[in-house]
Amino acid sequence: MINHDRLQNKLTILADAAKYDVSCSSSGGKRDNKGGLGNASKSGICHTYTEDGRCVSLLKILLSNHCIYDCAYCVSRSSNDVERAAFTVEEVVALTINFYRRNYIEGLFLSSGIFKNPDHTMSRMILIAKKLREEENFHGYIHLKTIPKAAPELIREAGLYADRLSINMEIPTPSGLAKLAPEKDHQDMIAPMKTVRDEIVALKDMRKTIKSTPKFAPAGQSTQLIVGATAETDRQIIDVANNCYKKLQLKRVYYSGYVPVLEDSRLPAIGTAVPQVREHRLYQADWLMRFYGFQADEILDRQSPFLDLDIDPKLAWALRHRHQFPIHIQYAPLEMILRVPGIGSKSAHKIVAARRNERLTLEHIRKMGAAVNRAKYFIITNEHNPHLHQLDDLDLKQRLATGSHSKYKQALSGQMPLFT
Amino acid sequence: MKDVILRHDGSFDGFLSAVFTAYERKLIKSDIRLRITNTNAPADLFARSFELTTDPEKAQRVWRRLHALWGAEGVRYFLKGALYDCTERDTVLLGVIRHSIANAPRSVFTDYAHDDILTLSQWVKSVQREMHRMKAFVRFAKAADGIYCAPVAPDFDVLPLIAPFFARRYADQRWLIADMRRQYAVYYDLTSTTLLALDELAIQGWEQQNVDAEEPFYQRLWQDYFRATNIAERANRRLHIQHMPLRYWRYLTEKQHAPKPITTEKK
Ligand code: SF4
Repeated sequence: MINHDRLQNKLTILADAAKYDVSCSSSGGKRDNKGGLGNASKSGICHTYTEDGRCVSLLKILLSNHCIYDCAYCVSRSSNDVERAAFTVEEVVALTINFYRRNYIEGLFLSSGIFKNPDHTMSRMILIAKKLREEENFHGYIHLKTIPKAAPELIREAGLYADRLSINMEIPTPSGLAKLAPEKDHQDMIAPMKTVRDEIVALKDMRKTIKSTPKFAPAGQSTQLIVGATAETDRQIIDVANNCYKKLQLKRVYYSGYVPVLEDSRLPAIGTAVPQVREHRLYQADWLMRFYGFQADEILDRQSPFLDLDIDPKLAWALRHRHQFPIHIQYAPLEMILRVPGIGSKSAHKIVAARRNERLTLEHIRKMGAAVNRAKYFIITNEHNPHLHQLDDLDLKQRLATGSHSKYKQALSGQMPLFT
Repeated sequence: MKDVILRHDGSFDGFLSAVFTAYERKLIKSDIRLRITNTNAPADLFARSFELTTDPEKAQRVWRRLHALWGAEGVRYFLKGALYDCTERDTVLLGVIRHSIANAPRSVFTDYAHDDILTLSQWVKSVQREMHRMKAFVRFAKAADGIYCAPVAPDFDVLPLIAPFFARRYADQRWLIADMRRQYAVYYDLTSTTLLALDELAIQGWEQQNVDAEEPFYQRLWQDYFRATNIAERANRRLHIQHMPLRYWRYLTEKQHAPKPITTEKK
């Protein structure tokens, strides 16, 4: 029988310690339910939103916040004076099932501090996933955080029960990591990523011939990069992300603006603002790579290694490449329409579908959801467009910047002094 | 330009009968501005207005024609848009039907430059968003008899559309989702789903249902979890409300500020 008060106390501690991990997505899973409990919905469902506006789709907790390591950026680090707690296997299973049955969550995101040693910790996490699948007949989403330096066999076993595996790189550069997490090096993170990648590929191949081959981490793997704890540039971060997508075949890279919660001379002081705008720009850059056909080195020039905080990276690219505009909305290929500032991927597809039967005007594309106040400087339509002249104006950026960041004005006004 | 209004009883069959009449009386002409609306819509002094009686036979004929035009998938798309609740609804739907018939057999649902087609696509999007939100914002509470119950109040009548989703997800638990605005519920009994009127439920004593002994405990845990995952340094109430509009809070467990006391006594 579960002790209510103790479980309540543990949940508060171990949810609080897990909250800095931003990856929460439950998408990409396809798990059929044959008479049991739960299924993974392909697009994932955010069941609630925290008061800081982040999606909550999974029960995100640490198995334990006891840790033998001492990474400077982590609240669970061994030298930090915090209350420690650890769930039992049964408690995590009961929480997951009971939250799931009430439709609070899409599944479990389990991570942990390293207690005893990496293998021991990893085994306990696997035990929970296994119990959920085999004893509770649970088909909801399970995301396990791989423990750095855990044995490859354990990682392989974890992938049989989990929908997604992840290991957080946290600090984007090897030198930054060496400074802040002396017990770890980048290889500790990259090696398991390679194991997972190879296993996914191998089992996928095998499935082609042997249908009963088990699925291995069907939703792929992801990682998180902390932004602003060390002095890396956006260019370095984007390059790391690009490598993760291209070489390690990761599904997602998450960016987490560093929240200073610990007193440490190696880190920004407590009270330093969270770099939310920078984090947002990195997510936009990431989207450009994943959905808009941009290459990493198109997003930032060699000579300017930081993303522009005033305008989004797509607009910044367009302003640097004005010679490629204007484009004709009626005839330009989809790839170029996707590159027009103010035209998102949904409206781009609508435009391409609609223009087959109609000669499009600015009014048409405005109604289809494009931000015409930005797009109008970059496109030719079937009517006279007086704004086209301004494509060469040097103050075009100024005009667009004032018109476009209203959405983030609030965030910006709080942080501007830091960046100017 | 003549203004003609066809009024019907407000049912979907009524709307389809009106469409039939529009074609039968040759009201689909460029010199007529034709509107179809239900009898509750405000009157227009300057338009000629006709009250029609609903004819299931005529409705059927129109429906078969639309099926042939759009196929099953197109019909489903159209029906989603038809769930959108507003006074211009029927006129826009008529516009879509006219445009489809005029361009048959070409598929017209991507003609976003056409106003009615674009409006329909926006309505479908709104309805789908509401469906998505209702998959997220249902909060079941376990009753003493083991049935998981949830009240909701969606903007559009989407419960029948999302019931299959819940039946798949919670295949091994009996559940009931009640639309408090429209006064009916969907009930799943481990094999199939049925629609029940809410007064029927009252008779069966649903409201007196006691909650399961563990229920308040898990509600409390969920509230604790909700609080513990917030990062105060990143507070952003505007974004929070944008994602989770206030009108949904009433039925969200995590937004109930006075958690029910934990009772440990077993019934
Ligand atoms: S190993 Fe993980 S839990 Fe332990 S201190 Fe480092 S980041 Fe924190």
